[in-house]
Amino acid sequence: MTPLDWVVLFAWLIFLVSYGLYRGRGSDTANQFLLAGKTMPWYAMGLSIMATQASAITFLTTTAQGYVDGLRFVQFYFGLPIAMVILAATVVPAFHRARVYTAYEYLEKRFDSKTRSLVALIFLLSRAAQSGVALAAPAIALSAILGWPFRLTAILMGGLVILYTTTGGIKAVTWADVQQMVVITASLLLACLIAISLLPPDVSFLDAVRLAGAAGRLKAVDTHFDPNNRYNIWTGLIAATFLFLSYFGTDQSQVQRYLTGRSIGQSRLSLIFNAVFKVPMQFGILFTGAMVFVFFLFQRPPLIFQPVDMQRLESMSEYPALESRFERAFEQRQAAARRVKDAQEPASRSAAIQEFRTAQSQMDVLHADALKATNSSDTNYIFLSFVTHYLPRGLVGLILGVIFTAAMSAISGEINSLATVSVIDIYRRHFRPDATDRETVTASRAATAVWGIYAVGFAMFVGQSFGALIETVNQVGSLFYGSMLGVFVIAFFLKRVGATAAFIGVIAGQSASFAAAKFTSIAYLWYNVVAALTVVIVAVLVSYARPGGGPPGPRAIP
Amino acid sequence: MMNHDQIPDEPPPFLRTWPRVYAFVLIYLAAVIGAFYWFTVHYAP
Repeated sequence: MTPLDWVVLFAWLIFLVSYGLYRGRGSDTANQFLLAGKTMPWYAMGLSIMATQASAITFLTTTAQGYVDGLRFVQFYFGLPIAMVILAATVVPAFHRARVYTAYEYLEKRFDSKTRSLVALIFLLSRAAQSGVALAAPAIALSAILGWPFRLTAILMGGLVILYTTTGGIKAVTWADVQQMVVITASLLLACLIAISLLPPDVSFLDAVRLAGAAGRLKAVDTHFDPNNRYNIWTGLIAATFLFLSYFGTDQSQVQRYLTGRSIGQSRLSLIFNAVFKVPMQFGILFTGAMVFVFFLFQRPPLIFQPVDMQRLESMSEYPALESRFERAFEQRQAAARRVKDAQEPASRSAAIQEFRTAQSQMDVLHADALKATNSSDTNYIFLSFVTHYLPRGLVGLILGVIFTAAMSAISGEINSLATVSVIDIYRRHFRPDATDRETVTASRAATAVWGIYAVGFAMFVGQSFGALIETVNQVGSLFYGSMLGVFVIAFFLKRVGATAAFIGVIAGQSASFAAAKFTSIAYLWYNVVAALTVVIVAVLVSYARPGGGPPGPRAIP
Repeated sequence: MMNHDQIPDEPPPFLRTWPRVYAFVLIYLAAVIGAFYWFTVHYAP
């Protein structure tokens, strides 16, 4: 990091927070603070939805997936456009017409308060853990790269988020996200172009693409059905559709975004915007990772991308032997890559690819040995290592700043939605039903600050003590979506199912999700399908066994 | 509570009706998957 990079990094942070505060001014009523006065245009909501989903860790791990595993992760997003169409046609008009602040408020209008409270609690439980992880994971990565203490990094990120989210509410969050998404897209594009431009003069862009293909990094579609494999076209089109229906249709962090639309049409357009651009964007991020891989075919990568662990490795006795074997394997791989590039005949190309794969396997084994020796993992540092070592001055600071604020964007969405549900579905519903507008805004600001402080505290606990917990928490989060989707499917489409049947269905669906995780080896995306179907089937059976399944609720939606 | 009719809706800025927009998105998805499939096959090792 040069002085120019530090200037750019801090200038970007100050700009983004100030811009959020500026655009969030006037958020002094509940409607303004929680729903931006329903004034948001489609492009702001669309970009904000994208930014909330594209957290920093997605940014870091997705490029790394492109590097290590190629493009196949893009299949995960095939269900997104389908989910967006279904939601735009059904959920968006229903939520708008019900005039709700939260998705769970709708459940009381359709069923009763216990169903609303149960689903709101499921949301709070699942999101609370994830908010800490959304802060911890990028804070760990950035603290290692910037050389800052982890606690300081987490407090700085969390503090800035609390500042603009508490002050400006959803308006500040949304407009900050818009800037964020524009700069993320531009920086990634630049990083990809620079990776290509830094290739040796005799390696063209088409050569780079062919080399990535020869290395198996361009396999974007796998048509083989396997429920245990999370990345094939069927998992993407079926299981991921359920996940995205749950995420965008029932998760308050997303629902709140499109509830700020000034009309049903604007909210629909924000989802259609995501349906059109999300898949190509993910493809672009993965492709950038694949191009970074090709770049490192001609530029020797470090044995470990994590700089602190690399320094530890250098002080170990096994380092010299590992280093010289890695160097040799790299030279063999580079020579093989050139032979693959230059091969004219299919037979010689096939032989060169075989040679390339052997050298790649050797490098992978040595890399794994180095990680084992230091007991570390460096996946999240691949892109950061490329950025800090090979990008021009100034751009390094900008990209690190963007990763910093990508984390902040995801956390601001999390704590904003956690605060909204805490205030609207718990505090105002059960403790202060007669709260004035002013009291609701004060409670929302206080809840935002409390959830922000909680996220910082949880991040420190996760980051310092239980690094491996991050993966677990992410998977635990995915256990809750299916049952939330199931109860909304009943609410929207099965008008004869009543409140008690829906409530029992949610409990059954949640149990089924836990059982699927505990007793089967299916990919976690399928938990959503299992839980959602269980909720619907159990609720329908209960409503038949017990006609009405309880009343549909005193304020049933026509 | 506000009457449902008071919630503003509007036609899409292109293709005139929402069902056409939805159909466009699904056709677009099929085309994108088709392009990715071609990419996969064309650059297979």
